[in-house]
Amino acid sequence: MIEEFVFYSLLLWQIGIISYILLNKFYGKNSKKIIKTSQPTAVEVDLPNKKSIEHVDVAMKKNILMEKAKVSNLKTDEEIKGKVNTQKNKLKKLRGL
Amino acid sequence: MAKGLDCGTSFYITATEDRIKKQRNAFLTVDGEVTQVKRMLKRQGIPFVEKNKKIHIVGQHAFNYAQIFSTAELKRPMKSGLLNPQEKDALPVLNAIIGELLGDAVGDETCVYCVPSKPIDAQREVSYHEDVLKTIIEQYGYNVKVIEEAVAIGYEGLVDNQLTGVAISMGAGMCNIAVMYQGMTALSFSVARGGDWVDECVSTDTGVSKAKVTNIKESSSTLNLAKGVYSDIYEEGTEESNVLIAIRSYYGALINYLLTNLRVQFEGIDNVPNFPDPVPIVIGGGTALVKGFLDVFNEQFDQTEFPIPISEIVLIEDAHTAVARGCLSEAQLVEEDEEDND
Repeated sequence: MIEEFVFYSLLLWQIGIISYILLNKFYGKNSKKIIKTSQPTAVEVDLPNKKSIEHVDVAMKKNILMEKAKVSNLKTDEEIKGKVNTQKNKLKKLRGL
Repeated sequence: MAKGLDCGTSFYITATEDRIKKQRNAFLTVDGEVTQVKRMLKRQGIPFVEKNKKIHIVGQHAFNYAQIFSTAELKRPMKSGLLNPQEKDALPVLNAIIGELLGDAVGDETCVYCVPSKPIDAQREVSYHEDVLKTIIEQYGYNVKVIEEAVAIGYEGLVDNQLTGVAISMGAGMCNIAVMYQGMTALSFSVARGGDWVDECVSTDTGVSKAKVTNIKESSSTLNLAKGVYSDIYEEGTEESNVLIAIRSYYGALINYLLTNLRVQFEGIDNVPNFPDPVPIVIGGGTALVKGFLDVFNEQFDQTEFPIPISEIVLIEDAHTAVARGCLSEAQLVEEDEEDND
């Protein structure tokens, strides 16, 4: 009984040791190379203070070039002759002119 | 001699002290070999403009052609009160129309023209439109001054009320509004809806071409928007009656849109002038010419919702030429002022 116990326990130990050796041989640890780099970290710099300036509107100077077209026979569709009544005199009075 | 020029979407109108001239602001491009087309048009006495090997029939003739030949596409140099961005040949046509109406300046002549106020319902600026027109008019040798279209209406319709009140120009492409107080403009804006919008809506709803709707609206002797007259004389179911019913409906919608936006704009401005006494609303422009217009306007107007007390709603005499006459008054005063200074 004791002999059997010793025999089986030795057998188990041998299997364990052989398994360890084989695993170590084929799946050994990959040694990771650690490369130290010296990357500078960002630093805050003081920017010159900008004044908040509002936008300004500028008058556009547009050079619109336009050639006259050739016109033939162009006549006014409707012409009403006679004194044209306007409110000019009343307008003049209102403006104090 | 001072001249006033109304640069409308549908008509260009000039006023001088002794005459008024109107030119329909439309054209039609004629296909075909240029020399042959020119010869044919000259023989028939039809006015045309030639530019970049294209022949355009201009004015009322173009409008008439579009009525007869339904396939012919009537083109408009302006749309919604401003230069038409889709129309590449607009500028030479406008140049020709303005040249014909104004002629070359003799001596030191002043021309006052009008531009719309900035539209509140369209992403458009007025600046380019204003500059193009100024450039064209200056080409003919005039001293040029510009005023807002609704202010020109005010110069014709509000002088008896110390230039205080609401001036509305009902045009084809736009409606322009100015609230004036003692000659100053407290509020001005435009909406990009007018007579053309009515025509388009009516055309869509009735299946009648837009050109034909415009023609019915402008020339139908039976068209009267006044309620009593309107419901009695038209036979239901005919094409014309459908068009007329739709015209009335969309006129109501247009005026309602205008008045609602006027109220909203008025509520939105700072420094609202106080109108202690009721003031008039004066209306001019071609879209207001239709019979019964004031009936529809009065139907839509509700004093309880309107921000200003209104004394009366008046259609200016000869509403179609009111803007041109307002511009003329301003031009005459500019010239008198210059003469006094000299």
